[in-house]
Amino acid sequence: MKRFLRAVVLQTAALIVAVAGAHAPARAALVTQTTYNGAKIVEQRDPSSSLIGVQLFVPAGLDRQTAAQSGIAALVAESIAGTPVGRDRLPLRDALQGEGGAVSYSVDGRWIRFYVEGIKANFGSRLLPLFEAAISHPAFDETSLQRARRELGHKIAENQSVPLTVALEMLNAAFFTASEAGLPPFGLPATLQSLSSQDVQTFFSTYYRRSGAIVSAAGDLDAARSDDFTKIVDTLPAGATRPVPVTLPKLRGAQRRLVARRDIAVPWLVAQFPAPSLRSRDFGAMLVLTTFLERTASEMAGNPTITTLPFSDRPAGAMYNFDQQPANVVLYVNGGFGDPTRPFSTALSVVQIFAHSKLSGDIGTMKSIAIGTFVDAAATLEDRSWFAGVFAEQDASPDFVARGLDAIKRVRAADLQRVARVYLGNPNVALVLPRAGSDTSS
Amino acid sequence: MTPRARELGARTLCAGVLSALFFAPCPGNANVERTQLPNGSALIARRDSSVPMVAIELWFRAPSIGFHSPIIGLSRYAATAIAASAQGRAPSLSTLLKSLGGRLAINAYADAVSIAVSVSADQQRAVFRALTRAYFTPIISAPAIRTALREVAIAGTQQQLDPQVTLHDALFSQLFTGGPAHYATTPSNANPLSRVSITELRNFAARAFRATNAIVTVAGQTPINFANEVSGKSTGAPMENPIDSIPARQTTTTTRSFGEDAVGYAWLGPPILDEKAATALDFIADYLFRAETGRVSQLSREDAPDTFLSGQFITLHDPGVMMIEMAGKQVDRLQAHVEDQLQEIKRPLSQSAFDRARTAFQYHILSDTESPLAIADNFGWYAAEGDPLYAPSDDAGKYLQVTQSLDPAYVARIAQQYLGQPTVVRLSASRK
Repeated sequence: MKRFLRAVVLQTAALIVAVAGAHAPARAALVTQTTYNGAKIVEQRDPSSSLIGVQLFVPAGLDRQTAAQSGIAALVAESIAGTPVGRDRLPLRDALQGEGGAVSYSVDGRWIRFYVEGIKANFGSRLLPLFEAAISHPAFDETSLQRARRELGHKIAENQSVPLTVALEMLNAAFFTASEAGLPPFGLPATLQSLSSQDVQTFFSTYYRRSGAIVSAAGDLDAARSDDFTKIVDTLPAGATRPVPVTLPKLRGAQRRLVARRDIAVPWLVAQFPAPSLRSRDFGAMLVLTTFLERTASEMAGNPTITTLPFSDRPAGAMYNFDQQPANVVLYVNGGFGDPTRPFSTALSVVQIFAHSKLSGDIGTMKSIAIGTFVDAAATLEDRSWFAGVFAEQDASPDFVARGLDAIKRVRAADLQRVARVYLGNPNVALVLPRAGSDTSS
Repeated sequence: MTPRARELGARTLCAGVLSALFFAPCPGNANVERTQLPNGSALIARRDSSVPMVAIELWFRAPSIGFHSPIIGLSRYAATAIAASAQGRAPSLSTLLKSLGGRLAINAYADAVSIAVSVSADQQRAVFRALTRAYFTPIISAPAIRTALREVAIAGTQQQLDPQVTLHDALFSQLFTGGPAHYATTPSNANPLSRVSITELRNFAARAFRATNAIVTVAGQTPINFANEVSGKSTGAPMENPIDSIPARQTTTTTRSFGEDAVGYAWLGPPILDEKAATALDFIADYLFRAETGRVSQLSREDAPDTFLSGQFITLHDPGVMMIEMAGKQVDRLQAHVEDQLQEIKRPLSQSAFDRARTAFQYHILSDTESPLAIADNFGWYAAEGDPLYAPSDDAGKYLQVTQSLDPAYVARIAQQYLGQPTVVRLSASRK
């Protein structure tokens, strides 16, 4: 109960959401947000869950690196996940497994995000103390770093075999011009090798600070102790950090295309557009437009299917990365279903028609599709704690369902036209091609 | 017990016993509702007000090859054709789900077929009505048949390129000499299906998809009283019994040509009603083969990174099946690790190692059955196989109690009993 400085209860939302075309709109959710020592703590209660999951967002992502340090953010996170903890001095990952939990991490432009999940009965008493021990005293000795480099090497290789991630890395490098947020998430093997134990320790000491951090918890939180989440914040020293200032050149010219070749079977086309932040009045319209882009490209790329294809089998897709700053939208077409240029150009043409013609039809169906797509991404505790953390980070209500559905519900035809015109005009385009002579080409 | 990767049941369980199992008061989670709808369908629902979506599934006991002469893929074909058919003036189920941003999946297993949908919670009433109307009073239109045939044919073609599916089907055809489990659930050649008349398809649908043969599973935010949402009374024959397939008397080893090297092992295991033995094999599969954390999976990542590995116990009515599938450039190295670890597991783990592995296993079970779709899927599978109260998604229920009753010596004994000489299928690129 030490230093219990819970400051302001910002949000307690019990909401009723009316959805376009809904017959029995009803959703009761309880999401609370507090601030504690410069960090935000978001709690979503789900009494029916057997688990508790916690996201810790630390502002120590790619934009805290320099180009020469590419990969250091991931190297720190990977080292924490492998830090020996507990009586048996097992790596954190293994120690959590044995106590009924797991840890994962992700790296993006601004954040390192750890996700710890486990059986609720063990969560506060056994799992969190292990995580807190690792993040308080991470192992950065050369042996630990070698293991971490090897693991990151696997991840880099995996990413390089996936055309979408290859394209996104190229596009992000061109898109984020005010910071190094566009560096590859796991770095480069050469720079990883060059980073010393001292480099890693310095990065950790500098950027793992609690001001601006976010703890987003979901699950049966009544099974947690009242100070479980503030103790996570307390593992980080006081202080705030800023991105490393850089100014990177923008792509010039009318045709902004990037091309890469990899050992893949078919070509992929990927486009990236700027997009409004989730606090913008255009947020809902962009959610609707993104699902519309996906549907249009999918229907042009392959025969419409009766059942819903799994993500990996989809001929096309679109993602609205409102968690990134600046936000962006990505449209991709998988050439495995035929020439990708036709669905790609059709989708872009339809967007232009949107932008320059007044819509006269009913947009209710488009909004219904957007709502279904939005809630479909919130199926698990990890999804929901991520959403709430992202919304809280951008000073929006952490009750993301209410915020998201309300934004979609308010969209009018004129909004779609405006947003298409403002944002979807001139994308950067990446083309990932099979390597010449690759035996996987077909 | 991995959802969506299980097959077939055998033997019968009398309808009276089944009714008792479906509708017995739940001993565990008070959130789980088990009841019978006025139209005779069994309902299993788990309500969760904090998730903004709902999953609704219909499960039917129906042989994938039909009730008469075997036609590979018939159940998938019929279920898909119904989803594509306009329902009078109403749109098809597929069109409705697309207009709501929802999901629709059709999964055909040897002895059961499921239709799974998920939508925003606000749309569940309309979707529930459309789903039950479409399948309980099936309409199959001629245009929908063509569309469905194309979809099944594409799925069959794609599966021919997938080493895991190829191994799975080949192993089952060796493990079972007759019955639906002997056959693939999706045809590699759709020509026989194209010769099925619309009348034959309708006859299959009328028998397989009747309300009294349905298990309705629901999970997510759902305040609805489902009894008010279905029409009709309970008429027609009671639920089908699980369909027998005939286990092979001997193990076999076969080799086939394929696009890459791959190896599959399979063993016949305990029936679902031998819950402790089945759970012990689930534990073994988790301990050795779970992605990222399994012992063999970790060895594979270090020593044979360019390989695919899957190992699971498929909980079935009788008998269950333990299956391991490996593929890739370094499959020989991976195979050596698999064989070493299969010998190791026949010796009891130390108590401390076992305790840690069992706690990890319990977490994995809860994690795997967390989302509404996973919960609904899990309820449907275990009910279709004849032991609904054993479903792991009933989180305070029987399954976790059984995991707690396991001990190192018992697990080793089950490994010795069931994991002897396997049936082996090798896929060889060099024979192509």
